[in-house]
Amino acid sequence: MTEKKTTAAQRDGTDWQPRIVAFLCNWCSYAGADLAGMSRNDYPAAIKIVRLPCSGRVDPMFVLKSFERGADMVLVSGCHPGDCHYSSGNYHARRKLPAFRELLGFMGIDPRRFKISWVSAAEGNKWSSLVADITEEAYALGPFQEFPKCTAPEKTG
Amino acid sequence: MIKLHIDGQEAEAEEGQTILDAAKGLGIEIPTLCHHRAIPPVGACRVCVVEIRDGGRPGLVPACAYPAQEGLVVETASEAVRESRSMTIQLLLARCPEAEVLRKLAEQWDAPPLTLDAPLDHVEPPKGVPEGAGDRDKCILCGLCVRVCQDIIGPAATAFAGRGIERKVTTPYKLLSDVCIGCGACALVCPTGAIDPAEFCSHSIEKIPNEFNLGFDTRTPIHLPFPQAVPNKPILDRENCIHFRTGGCGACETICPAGAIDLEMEDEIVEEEVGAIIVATGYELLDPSVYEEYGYGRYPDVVTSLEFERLVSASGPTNGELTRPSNGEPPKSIVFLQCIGSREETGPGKPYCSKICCMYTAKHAILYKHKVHDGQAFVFFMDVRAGGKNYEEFVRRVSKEKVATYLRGRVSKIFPHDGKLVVQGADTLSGGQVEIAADMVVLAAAVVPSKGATELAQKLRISYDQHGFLSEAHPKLRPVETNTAGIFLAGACHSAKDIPDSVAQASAAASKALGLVVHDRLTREPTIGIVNELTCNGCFECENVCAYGAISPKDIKDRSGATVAVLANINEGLCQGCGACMVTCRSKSIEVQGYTDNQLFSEINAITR
Repeated sequence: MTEKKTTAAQRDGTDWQPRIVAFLCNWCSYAGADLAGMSRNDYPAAIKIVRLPCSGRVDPMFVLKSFERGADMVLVSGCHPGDCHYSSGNYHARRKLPAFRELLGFMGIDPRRFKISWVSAAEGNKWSSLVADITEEAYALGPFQEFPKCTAPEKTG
Repeated sequence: MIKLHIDGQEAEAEEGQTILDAAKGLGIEIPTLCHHRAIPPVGACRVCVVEIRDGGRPGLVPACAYPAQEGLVVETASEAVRESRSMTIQLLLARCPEAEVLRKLAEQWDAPPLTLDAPLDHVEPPKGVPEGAGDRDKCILCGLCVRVCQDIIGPAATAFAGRGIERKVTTPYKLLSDVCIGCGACALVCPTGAIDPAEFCSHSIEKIPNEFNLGFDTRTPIHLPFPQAVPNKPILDRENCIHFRTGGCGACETICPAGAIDLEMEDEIVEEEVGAIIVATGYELLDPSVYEEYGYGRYPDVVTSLEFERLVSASGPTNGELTRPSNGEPPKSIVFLQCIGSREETGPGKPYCSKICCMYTAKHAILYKHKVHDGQAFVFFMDVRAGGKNYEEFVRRVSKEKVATYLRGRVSKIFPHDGKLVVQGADTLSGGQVEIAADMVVLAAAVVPSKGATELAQKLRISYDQHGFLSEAHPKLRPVETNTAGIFLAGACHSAKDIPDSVAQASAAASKALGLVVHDRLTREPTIGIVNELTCNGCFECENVCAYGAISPKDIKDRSGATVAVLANINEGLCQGCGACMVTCRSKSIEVQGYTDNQLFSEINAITR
């Protein structure tokens, strides 16, 4: 219910709230977010989480799709380097995603809208402060309108 | 088998055994000083004399050197034996009045000490022994040390020198010896404790601190790791072993009657395939020397709770006698400081409560009162957190029965004054400052994970928190499992935990592990990769990124059996479903079930609606 209200408010352009899509690995960051919830930590509701097996599973296309669909910010978070549940998945992410971020500007997306972070399963507090920080930043950057403008007719779906 | 009679009992002995061995088999104790089972006997001390009545040359013979013979009739405590033995002990004691072992023997065998004014003019006090030669006054010249160095160890660093009353064990030219390897075997075999190898050896001999007793005493290179170790067998510490350091010695190999020692043995890597792993790496204490105000490491009487535990333990360095490390006196007043490094949001400490300290400090106070009845114990605490069955009652008893005086507050400084430690602290309940002159201070330092626990966690691919404690899969619903299938946690490697909690968790981990391995078939997550063979073009980029080696080439054959393509194939048993291959695949020919691109794009669409 709240979600629909937010969406409506966003479409009206009033009382705007950023929409942040987060891709979290199942073993560290997702568990960290879970811990934040279990510890009753407050953090902004602007973030929506997609659970993936590993940060190495993040296809750059997911990030582009999110922006295309009107996300104002995208976050990828995985296990700390060295702690990957799958030995080396976050190393793939660590090489691939910063390179991808360099290309975002070329595509008309402010690279500051794409965040990469490492949050372990024990870092519930880090997760909530991370979300608070990037939400704050998303407010400062304002709505991401370049893509939705181009694809406006599609947005009814 | 040789049959003989000892004290009217029939004894059996093997060829080459002595009367002493045969008597031991019957449980008859024959006192001896110069005998060691590893060294051929010479019968030097004459304490072990026994009387042969029949079957051999009648008379008094040394039991340690006289071979067991068929039909021998031996008396070990006859009148003649007693008289001879008593006199021998008397004479030895006159030479070495300080030797504890001789005093005991004298008491046992009714040998009153000879003194200088005793009317026995044929006994002269030993002359030539320099004044203050210390323990060398205890030497009975049995030669065991000389024989062990020559026959067992090899360097023959010592020998007898001088004649008559000037005879003594020493090195050539009475100079410190270069050939001495400092093994300490001479001191080990010496029956009276007369020898310190440092007086022979030209190089320094380091004492090895006993790790289990936290360095309060020393150990030998071959030692039991701790009392009641399982298996209860000694281990050899290569780093300190004379054999591995100098190539000499090797005495243990010769001496061990079971032939259990093989110095040629090398470490080997044993590989086992297992279905489950339980991690139980335990904890250690935060080093309290980071808090300079408590003086740990500077003042010997400031000890950690674990050190106190060793000092009061019956199997500890003092055999359970509680003494001050500085002077060996019993501590008449003791101060326990709780929360050293626990519940500390800033500084070198830890933010968490170490959980076990309130209870063990209360226990330590009771132990202290058991050892020092007239002693005074004080406990500085922040809060007493005694949550647990009967815990609160226990702590309450300690404070109510005046076992210890509980003071709520922190200690700001400890400094030595007049042989005591002055503990300055606040008592927030009375609102004043207190100063206690203590003989000993015990610091209840914070519980931290064992060293190397995080390295192990990285090897096992399990997660851990910022303090290094290993993380459970779910804090409420899966408290003994880790996120990695088949790996379980038990005890303080997971968080500070007391014994009942550790036992409960360990039992749960064992049940979980058994539940996993007893089945014929393994249940696993279905979220693994599947190759679409219609679009795969066999570039094998996926093979490069797979951390499990789950991807291998597969020949695609036509009807005639000819290979038409080589495509990627995923081993379902090895694949863990991380999806790295899927992102790498340029033709999008691999999908991880449950996390397919379509599913994820739908999810993105839904949450950005």
